Amino acid sequence: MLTAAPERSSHTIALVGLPNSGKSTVFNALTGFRQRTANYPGVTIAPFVGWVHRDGHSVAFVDLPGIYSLSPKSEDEHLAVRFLRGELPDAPTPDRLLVIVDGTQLERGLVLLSWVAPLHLPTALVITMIDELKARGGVLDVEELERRLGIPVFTVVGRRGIGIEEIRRSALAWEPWGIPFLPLPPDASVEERYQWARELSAAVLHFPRPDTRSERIDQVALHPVWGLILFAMVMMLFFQAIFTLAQPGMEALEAGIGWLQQMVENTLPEGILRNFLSHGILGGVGAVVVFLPQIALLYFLLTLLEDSGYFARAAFVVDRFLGSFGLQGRAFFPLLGGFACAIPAILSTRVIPSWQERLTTMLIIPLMTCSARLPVYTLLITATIPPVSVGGVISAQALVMMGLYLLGAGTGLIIAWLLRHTLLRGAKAPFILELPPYRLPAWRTVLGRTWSSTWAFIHTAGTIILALSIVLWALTEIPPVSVPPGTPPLEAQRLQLENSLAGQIGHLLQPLFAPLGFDWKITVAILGSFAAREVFISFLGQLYAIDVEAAEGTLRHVLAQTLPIPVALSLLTFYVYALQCISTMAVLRRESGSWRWVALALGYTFALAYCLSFLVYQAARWLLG
Amino acid sequence: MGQTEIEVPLNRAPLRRQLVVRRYEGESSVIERLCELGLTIGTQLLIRRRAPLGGGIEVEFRGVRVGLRLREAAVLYVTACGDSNAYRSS
Repeated sequence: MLTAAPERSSHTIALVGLPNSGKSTVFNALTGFRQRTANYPGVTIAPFVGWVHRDGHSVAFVDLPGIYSLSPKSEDEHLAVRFLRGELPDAPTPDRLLVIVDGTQLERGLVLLSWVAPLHLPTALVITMIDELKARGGVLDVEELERRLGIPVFTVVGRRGIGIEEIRRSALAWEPWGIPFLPLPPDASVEERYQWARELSAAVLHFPRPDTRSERIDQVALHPVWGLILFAMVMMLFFQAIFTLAQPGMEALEAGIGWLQQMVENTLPEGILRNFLSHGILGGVGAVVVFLPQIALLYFLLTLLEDSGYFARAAFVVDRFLGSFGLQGRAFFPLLGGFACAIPAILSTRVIPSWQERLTTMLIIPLMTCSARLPVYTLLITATIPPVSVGGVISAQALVMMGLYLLGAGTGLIIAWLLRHTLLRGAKAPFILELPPYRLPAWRTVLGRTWSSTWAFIHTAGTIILALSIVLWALTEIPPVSVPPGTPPLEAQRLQLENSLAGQIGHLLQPLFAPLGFDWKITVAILGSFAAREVFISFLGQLYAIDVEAAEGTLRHVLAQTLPIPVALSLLTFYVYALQCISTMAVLRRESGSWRWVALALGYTFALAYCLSFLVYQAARWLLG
Repeated sequence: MGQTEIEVPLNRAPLRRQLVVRRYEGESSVIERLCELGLTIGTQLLIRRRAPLGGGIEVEFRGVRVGLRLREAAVLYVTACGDSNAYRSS
């Protein structure tokens, strides 16, 4: 006789909590590194999902962005609420809820529970920060809380993984969890909810001493003088770390790809296959992986700052400054991230609640000098700007480099102001930001989040960059140019590039760029930059290969002799402004929901690039005679 | 205790004094978010400090700290709370 076996299939458990409730730490402890961002069609934001399997039963834990209630204000909160209500197309409907509550803020956590209780889902409560609660003299009566709520209550120390196994076991065994029964009408007012939460909290928790550590730190961190100095120092360190710490990794990866290319060149016979593998595929992969150390580092530092509690302070400090350009404090880190790479930066604007402010931030991020521009800047500056010092203190080269960064950032802020007073006009959005207690970051969470965000970058941007690199490679190989036998290989390479589709397009468009001082070689190289900016260098390398060999020098030497300073300055200006990154456009399309905004970004950056390069070129020619 | 009767918007309230939320007046979405955060009527709060560059204040209530712009603070009307020991007690 057949008996109904207990259901052994897959279930979805959503993690719900206030921002900074320790939710992500619990999620990471539960799922380890078995997590990915899940892209649901039509959803711009991907929640993190981690699967846990045991005895044929699997549970997908979904880490939702923090919410305060079921009335969302930001894009992040919208996603969480739509997921909870089962309104996301093609996303699973949550079967159960894990409500994560910071034990030192029990009252507010219970209010959140009261908002999600009407969803009528089996729920368990997870009280985090139990160690901190105890250290502050708090005593929690867990049994009483379970009895009053009618649902299981787990206590954990997320960062040390204490108590996590109990939750995992209960979830995997599909132990019955109750549906919370609260003595509150579904339409209870916020006051009634807080009243109920306060009474319940008072009944089960012997209240701990207040958190004095955060106040002591804030006396410095938010001090009118020391606070600003600390802020400047943190930003400088952040900036410095992204560039210097990532450097060895980037160089190693570049060398590795170069070695692989060499292997292919050495082992395969000359021909289209060898060329495709070496330049098309490996070149494309190289363009993606070379940025991974920096992007991983960027995510690592952002998560670290966020988890420690300083992130919110920094946003609070700069809010006034950014507010005067029609932005808000939360835009600060996305903009700073833009100096590494626009793609993760655009994704990180999701924390900005106002749509106008978020879109404005996304639209100006491409003006922050990303690291893909750096090799181009370095090459052009060292080749053409004389290594003299200005006033005996700072070198002219460093001055130009700094000027380029400031030019991009400054123009970005002006554009933000203009957008907020024209196309994206709208009342100043409210700025209300919780300043969480300072806490030591949980390494597991930081590493887990870094890994899954970096993976998301490889997944989204990586595939686009790779595909484009292959298209670009094809454009340089089609049509195949036949050269007379005996032509030196470098000359053959140059002829191929010059007469390929890419070369032809470059020749065709050159008159458009002539007023900026660009010849056809530069024009071809600029077009190549649309796949990835550093392609500029490899294109110039191919176009000047003969000259480089003849001069027995490097590309830099050749450029130093052949590139006039006005052209170099005009070219640098062009690179400051032009949005030459199709991956950024694709991400902008996804996040803004419309090609219209991509067209606007492309249009305004090109107009700026063209007009200002023209002015710089003409002015420099006139000044330098 | 005549001082306790005076109702002022939070952006004009004194620093580091126990205050009580009396009423709201202004944009409903701002009011909604402030309430959700726990700044319901009758809640006791304290302005810890002004933002280092100005333009905002840090308030503390129910053991939470929140930074807000003066414009948002203006929707909250508060009075001074006579008994500073009342803070955090229920």
